[in-house]
Amino acid sequence: MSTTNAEKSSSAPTLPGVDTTTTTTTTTTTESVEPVIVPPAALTATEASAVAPKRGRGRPPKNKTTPGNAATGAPMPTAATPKRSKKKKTPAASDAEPGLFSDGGAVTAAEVQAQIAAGKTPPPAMLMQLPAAEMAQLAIGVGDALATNFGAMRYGESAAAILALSDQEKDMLQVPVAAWIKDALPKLTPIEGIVLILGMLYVPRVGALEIQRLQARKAGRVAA
Amino acid sequence: MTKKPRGYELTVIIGATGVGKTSLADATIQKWIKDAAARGAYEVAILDPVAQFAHLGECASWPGRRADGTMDPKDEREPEERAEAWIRAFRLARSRHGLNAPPCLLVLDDADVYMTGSQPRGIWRDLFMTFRHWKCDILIIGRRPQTLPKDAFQSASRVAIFTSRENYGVAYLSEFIGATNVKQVPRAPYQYLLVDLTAQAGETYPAVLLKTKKRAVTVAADTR
Repeated sequence: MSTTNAEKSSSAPTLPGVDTTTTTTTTTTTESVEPVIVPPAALTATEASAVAPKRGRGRPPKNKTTPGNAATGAPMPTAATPKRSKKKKTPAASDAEPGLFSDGGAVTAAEVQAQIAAGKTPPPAMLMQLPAAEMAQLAIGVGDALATNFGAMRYGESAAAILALSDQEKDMLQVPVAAWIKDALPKLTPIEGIVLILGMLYVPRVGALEIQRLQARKAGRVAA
Repeated sequence: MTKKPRGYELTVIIGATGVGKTSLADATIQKWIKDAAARGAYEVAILDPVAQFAHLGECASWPGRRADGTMDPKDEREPEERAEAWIRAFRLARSRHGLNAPPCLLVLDDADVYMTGSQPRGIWRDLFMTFRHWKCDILIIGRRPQTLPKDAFQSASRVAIFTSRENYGVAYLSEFIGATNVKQVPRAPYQYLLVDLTAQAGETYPAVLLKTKKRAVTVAADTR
């Protein structure tokens, strides 16, 4: 829907015999333009054949040459041997057209949760793809696991490390960890949430330090 | 067999007009779709100011452009306003999926038209900082690196660099890809240097010289 407003302006200085009345036209478009995000139906799978080349590390192996030839008795190369030109050649462009995205598909939350359910530890990079709301759900799940295993299990140690941040938080050792996380998570930013989860899942002690740093920064902000 | 899941990624394609950017982007989009289709539901959205991806169907759009390809003469918005309206609507459409949003490829073509090299603000900053939580891979295509937000390069996993007609443009890139790689940017069209920015800072980013195939691309007459 568009609306057009036309208004006359006569505020400009006038000259004798010259009509300086101008017309200003303003067009305001309020039409909602929404991008269509659909799978393009016209595409077929046959059109993309690009394959990412394998990239190796380090230098390619040098040609193995032995100094001299023992069988023929040929002498070793001497200083008179012409040196190879050190002029760098321009590398030739490869015809291979790689995908500009990594092989494989983008992660889904279901895949992360399936990994955890199967007892596998998803890589942090995978976990960080989750939206904040899903992270919250995941953290609560992890918190439940912490509560269940609290005390004797290795997660108990990590929970103690994370929670032993202040006297007040030490008291929280007495309450179910899940409840604490449920209470704390909405107050955290997504990044803090990630740090918290990583701290619990992967590197308990480092995670605890990070949490401490975050809290110190927050305290500093408040003090300032 | 489905491939292993990976995190969401941002890729930038940079180069002068007519050197193969769109051809490479087209191949990349189709490969992305092929990979995504093998793993389930997916979405594609292309912000397409000059209708270079019209052949991909209605997923390619530009606010103010009608279905028949002509522009709405009453819509006098600047490109920046159009793009911002589009990306806001895109985010809204994605958020409607809730937790079950399928992976999406977001393509921002001719980004120079509606972006600037200054620090992005508002929704653009949100996009570059949190696109992983939008569950989006992003492909940005532009002509001049200095007119694209630095955040885009800093968040990018890969940069594909075609030849540039201005030396400063390539030199500017050294901040992001390293001076060594800048020297390897090809001069010939349809060749590009693909730089992997996922290597740790301080190392030389691995790069490979590649060719892309020339493809026929239809450009709409009324592009505005």
